[in-house]
Amino acid sequence: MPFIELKNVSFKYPSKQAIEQLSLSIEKGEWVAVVGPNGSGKSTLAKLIIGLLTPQSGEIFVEGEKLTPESVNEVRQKIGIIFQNPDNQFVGVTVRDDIAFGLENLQVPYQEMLTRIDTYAAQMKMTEFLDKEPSNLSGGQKQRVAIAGALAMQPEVMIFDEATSMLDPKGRLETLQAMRELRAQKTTLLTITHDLKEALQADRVVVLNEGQVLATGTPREILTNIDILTEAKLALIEPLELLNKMEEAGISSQEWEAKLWQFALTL
Amino acid sequence: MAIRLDAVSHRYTSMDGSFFQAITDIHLELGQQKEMIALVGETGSGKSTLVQHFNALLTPSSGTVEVMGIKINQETVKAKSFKKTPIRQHVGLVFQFPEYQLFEETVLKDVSFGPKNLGLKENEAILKAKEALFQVGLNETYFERSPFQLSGGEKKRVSIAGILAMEPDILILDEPTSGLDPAGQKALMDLFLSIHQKTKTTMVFITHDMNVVYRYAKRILVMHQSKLVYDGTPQELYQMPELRTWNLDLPDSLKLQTFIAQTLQLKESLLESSVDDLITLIKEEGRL
Amino acid sequence: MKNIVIGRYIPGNSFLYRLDPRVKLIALVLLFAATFIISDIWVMVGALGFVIALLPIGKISLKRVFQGLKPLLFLLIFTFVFQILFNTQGRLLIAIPLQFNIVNTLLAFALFGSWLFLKRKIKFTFLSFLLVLGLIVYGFSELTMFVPYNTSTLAVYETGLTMALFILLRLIIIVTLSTVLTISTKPTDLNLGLERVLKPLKLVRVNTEEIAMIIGIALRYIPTLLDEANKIMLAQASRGVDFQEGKFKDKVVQIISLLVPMFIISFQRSDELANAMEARCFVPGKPRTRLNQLTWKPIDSLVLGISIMSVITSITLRILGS
Ligand SMILES: Nc1ncnc2c1ncn2[C@@H]1O[C@H](COP(=O)(O)OP(=O)(O)OP(=O)(O)O)[C@@H](O)[C@H]1O
Ligand SMILES: Nc1ncnc2c1ncn2[C@@H]1O[C@H](COP(=O)(O)OP(=O)(O)OP(=O)(O)O)[C@@H](O)[C@H]1O
Ligand SMILES: [Mg+2]
Ligand SMILES: [Mg+2]
Repeated sequence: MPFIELKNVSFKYPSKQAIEQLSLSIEKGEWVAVVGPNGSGKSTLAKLIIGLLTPQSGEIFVEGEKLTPESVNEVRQKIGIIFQNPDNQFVGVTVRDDIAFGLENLQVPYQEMLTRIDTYAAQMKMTEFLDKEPSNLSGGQKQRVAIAGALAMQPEVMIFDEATSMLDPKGRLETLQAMRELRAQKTTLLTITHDLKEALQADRVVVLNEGQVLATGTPREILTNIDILTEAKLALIEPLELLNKMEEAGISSQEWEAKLWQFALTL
Repeated sequence: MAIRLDAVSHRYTSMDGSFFQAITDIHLELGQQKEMIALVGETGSGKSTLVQHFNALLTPSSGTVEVMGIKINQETVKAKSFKKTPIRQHVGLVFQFPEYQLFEETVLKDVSFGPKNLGLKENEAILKAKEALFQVGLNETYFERSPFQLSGGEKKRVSIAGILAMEPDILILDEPTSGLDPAGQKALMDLFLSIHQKTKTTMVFITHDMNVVYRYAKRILVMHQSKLVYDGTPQELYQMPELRTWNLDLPDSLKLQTFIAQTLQLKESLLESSVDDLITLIKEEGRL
Repeated sequence: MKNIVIGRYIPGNSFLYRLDPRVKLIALVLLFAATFIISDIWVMVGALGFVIALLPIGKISLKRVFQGLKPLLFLLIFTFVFQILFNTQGRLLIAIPLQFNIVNTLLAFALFGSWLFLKRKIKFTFLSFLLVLGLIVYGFSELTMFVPYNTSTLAVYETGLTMALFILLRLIIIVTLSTVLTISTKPTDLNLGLERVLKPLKLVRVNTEEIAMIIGIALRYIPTLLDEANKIMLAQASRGVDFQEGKFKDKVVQIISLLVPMFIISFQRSDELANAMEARCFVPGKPRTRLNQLTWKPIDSLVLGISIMSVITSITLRILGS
């Protein structure tokens, strides 16, 4: 049974059909990257999955349980989400309060709350910042707080909606590193991004275009496919461009391919 | 027709009355060469603060900024005759988020707001606005639309047109491509390049993306902990050991070139070779 | 814009900081009430003295509190002048005859014109302009060779003066106390305190937790929004808007050019924030556990006692006084 399953889901904003007859399933422990042009419906998809929006037609299942207004709160406990703008998801006045926010909502007992805050602040390397206010943190640090806050609720899936796009290279690496660690702990990941170097890290890439799945496959299949990339307004990253051209020139070998791929993952 | 900064520092007064030094002792000249200049540096290093001195949005706490021969410092701005609007006409600054400036009902009206503030008559301002909109690739079909119903990339273009319509000699862009999809990013950067080539405008763009620097910048400024630590060509910067301390990355192309050189165990550096050059090279040396 | 002190916590360490926020809130309300009960001007002066004495004991710098008063300076002066001019009860204290004749009227107009002109060149405050205007009218009133066509008197009455002083002192006390509260209380604590203090309202089906949450988030986002407003101003200034100058018609457009982006950005922000909160399982009205716990200490009882005493004292003084 897939962990998350969307069946023929459609969603329309008053002025715009954002998701159209979309079906998608995500297995437990899988890392799925969603890419696609601006306005293709990526954020809408994420909001549908955590029940911030309700589809006009179609069904969404999380661990086999159908997402309905009644079940939405229970389902949300299984899913953590990090949004793009670090400033607009910081609810607490201090880092500690912010991490606690979700726990308070889940009515976690006081003692347990304290231990969880310590654990996840430490995991995100934010322990020394626990009493800091958001205005004293960098963008990358705020994103790490958001991740700690989501992780403290012990979700089974984490969704990242362009979580790195407002960050500087250091903040981006920090957040990317956090994603890799989550993956090592077998957390299911859904990362939405314009950054193909980020998508490269995933097990599977889903390309969205005009509210529909344009293509899905391994990074190797999708991210070297010029036709798909062009249609989805994406650009070939350089090592893969080299790989493609080597193939055309007939000088590619398995060894080269493996090496270049390995290299691309370090970017 | 240039900007000169002489020992410029800026301190912000924060809410609890304490001070924060955002830029320290900056010496800088730009604008004579008509270049594309990249400004990079980690979060909070003072990039936005620095560029806001270029068009007198901020007055240096100490030191002097000279824009087109007009001196800006703590003394001169006190004079009654000191006018900031002409400076802002010469030096256009586009903020990171178009939402900061869009407010009119139609795109055309919004873009003509700048020229009107410069004292142009309604019809002249509209004319300038139309020119600017064509420049950024938005045609008549956009003129009467509401700026709020456009996509992120289109909003960005409208906000840039809003500054271009004032016909600045120097154009400054704060993180112009953030949040856009790769195709949108490339289209926008190519647009700047073509405007630069056509109108010989000096452009300064703030970015976090070293690939953009690699492709578009002739000169690069690096900010680190409130200081301007590097001002020169990107090529020389890439060789510098300090790159790490400044938290800067290398462009992908360069990393790839180095990687290939290492894999092929080449002595000479492959700097400046394109992917096609690399292919030729691998063809020749390609036995692993 | 950056110097707004009201609503701003400044870390520190004194008994005021350690007080239970519930006590601080209740004490604030009690002391407010006391200032409305006091009817004698000298008692009011004493109360102000008491409040000011609180500052050094609580290790709160007078400068900070003054910064809090500064934005309200205009309001304070306005109410003061208004009371003095329009309250005509009690003994007449001062009467200054003002006669409008050709000379001073013309002079006043000339002055007004030149003020409009000079305003562009030098920073001339409106207040000093009014002062000069008043002096001219007064000075030339004495020139009897010109036939006055209107005679009026600037009169100050005793009750007017005391009432004006009264209101001024009361406002100063209220603002000072509120500033002390926000400077010395972490927003989280303030919030929690408010929630607990309002708890009885639950009986009449008011959702006090939600109210507290709304206030808390407002406090959290005030600095962010101020920052945003500042950036919008800079962005529009880049488009040639000169906020210091401009005709009235331009001013209207200038203000719109600030308000529209501000509105749109605030709306976006609150939308995203609401999403982030909901995604973290926040359900309005649902019970929550709390990270921040409140503990009642002896000093809390003491302060509460003192506050109640001040109300009782002011009531007693009022009864004795009348
Ligand atoms: N609240 C809304 N009201 C109306 N239309 C909306 C709203 N939010 C998004 N849309 C529209 O729905 C479409 C899909 O939006 P969505 O935000 O899901 O795209 P996205 O793929 O996340 O884009 P981006 O890469 O820019 O983040 C877009 O055309 C957008 O303009
Ligand atoms: N209005 C302000 N008041 C007080 N401090 C400020 C203000 N604006 C910026 N700062 C501080 O000054 C420092 C430099 O800020 P600046 O915005 O110039 O950095 P930046 O290099 O543009 O960063 P980023 O990449 O995040 O945009 C930061 O530490 C910031 O917190
Ligand atoms: Mg999105
Ligand atoms: Mg910046």
